[in-house]
Amino acid sequence: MIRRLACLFEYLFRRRRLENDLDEEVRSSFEMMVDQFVARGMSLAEARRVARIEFEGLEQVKERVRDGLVGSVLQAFLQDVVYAWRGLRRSPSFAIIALVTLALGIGVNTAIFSVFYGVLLHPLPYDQPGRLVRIWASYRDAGARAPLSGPMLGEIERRNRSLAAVGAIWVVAPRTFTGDDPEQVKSARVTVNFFDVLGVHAAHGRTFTKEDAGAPAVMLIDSTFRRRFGANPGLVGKGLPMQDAAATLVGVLPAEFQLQFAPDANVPADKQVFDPFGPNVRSMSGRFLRLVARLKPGVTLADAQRDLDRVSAEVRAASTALADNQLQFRLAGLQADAFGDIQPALTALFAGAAFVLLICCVNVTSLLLARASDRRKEIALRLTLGASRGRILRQLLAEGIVLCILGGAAGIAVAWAGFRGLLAIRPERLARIAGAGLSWPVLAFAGATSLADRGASVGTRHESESYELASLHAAAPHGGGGRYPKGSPAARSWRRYRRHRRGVSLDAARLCRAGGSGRRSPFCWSGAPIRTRRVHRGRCRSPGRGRRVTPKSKPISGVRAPDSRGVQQAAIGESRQRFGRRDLKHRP
Amino acid sequence: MDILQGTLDLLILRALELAPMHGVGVAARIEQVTRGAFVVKPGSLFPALRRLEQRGWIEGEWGPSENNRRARYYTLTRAGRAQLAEEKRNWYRMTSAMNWMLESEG
Repeated sequence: MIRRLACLFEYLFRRRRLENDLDEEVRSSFEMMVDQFVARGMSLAEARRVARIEFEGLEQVKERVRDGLVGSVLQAFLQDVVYAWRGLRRSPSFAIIALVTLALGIGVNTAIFSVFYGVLLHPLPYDQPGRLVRIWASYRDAGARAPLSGPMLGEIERRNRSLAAVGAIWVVAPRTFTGDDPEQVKSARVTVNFFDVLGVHAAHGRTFTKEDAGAPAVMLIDSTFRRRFGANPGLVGKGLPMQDAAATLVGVLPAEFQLQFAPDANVPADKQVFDPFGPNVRSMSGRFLRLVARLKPGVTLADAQRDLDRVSAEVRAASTALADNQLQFRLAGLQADAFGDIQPALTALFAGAAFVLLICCVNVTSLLLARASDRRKEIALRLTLGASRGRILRQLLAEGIVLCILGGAAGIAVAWAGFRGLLAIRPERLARIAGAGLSWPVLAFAGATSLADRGASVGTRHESESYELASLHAAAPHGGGGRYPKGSPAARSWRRYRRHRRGVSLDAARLCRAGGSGRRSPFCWSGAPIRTRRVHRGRCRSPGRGRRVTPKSKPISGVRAPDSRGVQQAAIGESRQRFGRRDLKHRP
Repeated sequence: MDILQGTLDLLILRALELAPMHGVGVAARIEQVTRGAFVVKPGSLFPALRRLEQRGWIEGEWGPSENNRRARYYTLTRAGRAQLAEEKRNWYRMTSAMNWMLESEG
């Protein structure tokens, strides 16, 4: 391994010496061989001729040596990349269209998925958020998503076996900081264990404890603490001047803390101050408590739901009023509950963006295929000069890689701009995306997809076939597609190739678009063999003035006749594009 | 006769076992010892020499040839000797296996 690395190093950085050695060795060997032949009695000219035949070309020998060296693959790849770069600069319109397409595909996809991920997949900023659940009550008179009363909280706490802890929150009237610059702040009241249930630790001070229940204690969110109190940690544990009475600041929540509730919970995320319920919360009637619970380790949502079904049955058994009202408790994962309302919309948006990427890939591939067929002569020349097929395919792959890197860079720009745009217009519900940021894994995924797409297209039969055909071109007079001797295998193979290539690439594009729109795809090319025959205008005699028969009808009816060699369908067309000349096509 | 795939290295290592030689010498030695059965063309010889050198089995050094040309002389290294022994063993195993198969009766 170390040896190989040393060789690679030598190859990359001491190229010149290696080349000189190689050149001198091959030349002196050639001369030695000439010497040998001269010693056997040949004339110098004859000896050189024979030695040249033996050697099969000095340059070719050197090339084979270079191919076998450690590092030659890397070198060849770098060469391919440079060549691809020059190729792109030579055809700027192609390069720009391909790059814009790729950039849009990658950029849009990344921006949309970043939102998708930030809202639905990015875990909530709590400890083990997967174990957090919301508890709703279902009443006959209040629907399936009602808040709970204090006694219900007590019943659940007492009777359940699946919940580690249950906390509750409700919104209270705004409070006012007094002082030189009075300010009203949005407030919420929580059970003293609320932040412990979420697994949120205070950034300064502590969260509420049992002793705080009913005491004049408050917690602040980070932004308010910074703005109003200059983030002065000395204030923690001191009294803050408030309108009703001074309240002790027990702690400050961390900057990433966010309340995450579904809109119908009516607990907005913009609360600035939290104070604790008193010990009497479990006797407060009225359905006002929004419950958050933490599952015991290893307990699934379904287990917990069964457990709460049992609890509600026990509660109903104890109270005829609640039994009449058909009380039930319903559980939902905290994150699923909070974003359940926008999940379908975001999923549809993401699926749309994925299709944009797919269509972009198909378009770029079609573009590259079209370009490949335009470059027949160039490829034929390289094949003639001795490039192997693998080498040419590698070069095309390198082109794809260059395109993808450039497209990826442009994609980052588009993604960034798109994401900023989405942030600027974000509705309040999507506040979370700001925290998640641009999703780099998705960017890598989108780039890799377009690269894989390119790789796959190089590997497909019709593209590699085009290079076999290019070698036919190399041998053909004038190197042109339509100029093979009529009826020669080369001409047949050329026609077959053109038909195949167009058919496959068009079909791929149609399939993607039709699939994307949910329609059935109207394929034009079904794969059944199509035969073409040229029809000469001269053969279709028109039977006199005024009764001009179109030149097409006769030969068609002739071919359509039942005896005509298993023909299924026949049609006539003038499409130069597809069949070269005025051809009759029919399907055996 | 075509040189069997993978045996060129063995031929070269064996040729160099006796004395350091330049490339043309190696080819001539192989041709001579095998009585003309194996002719190693430069197109195969030089890539193989470079490959063996990169693997550390042989070492090349410039020196004067018989006709006072500069030639690159290759010497078998210690690793090369070990490799030669290993390849010889493999070869004998393979040929005897082939022989058993070809000479088996019934």
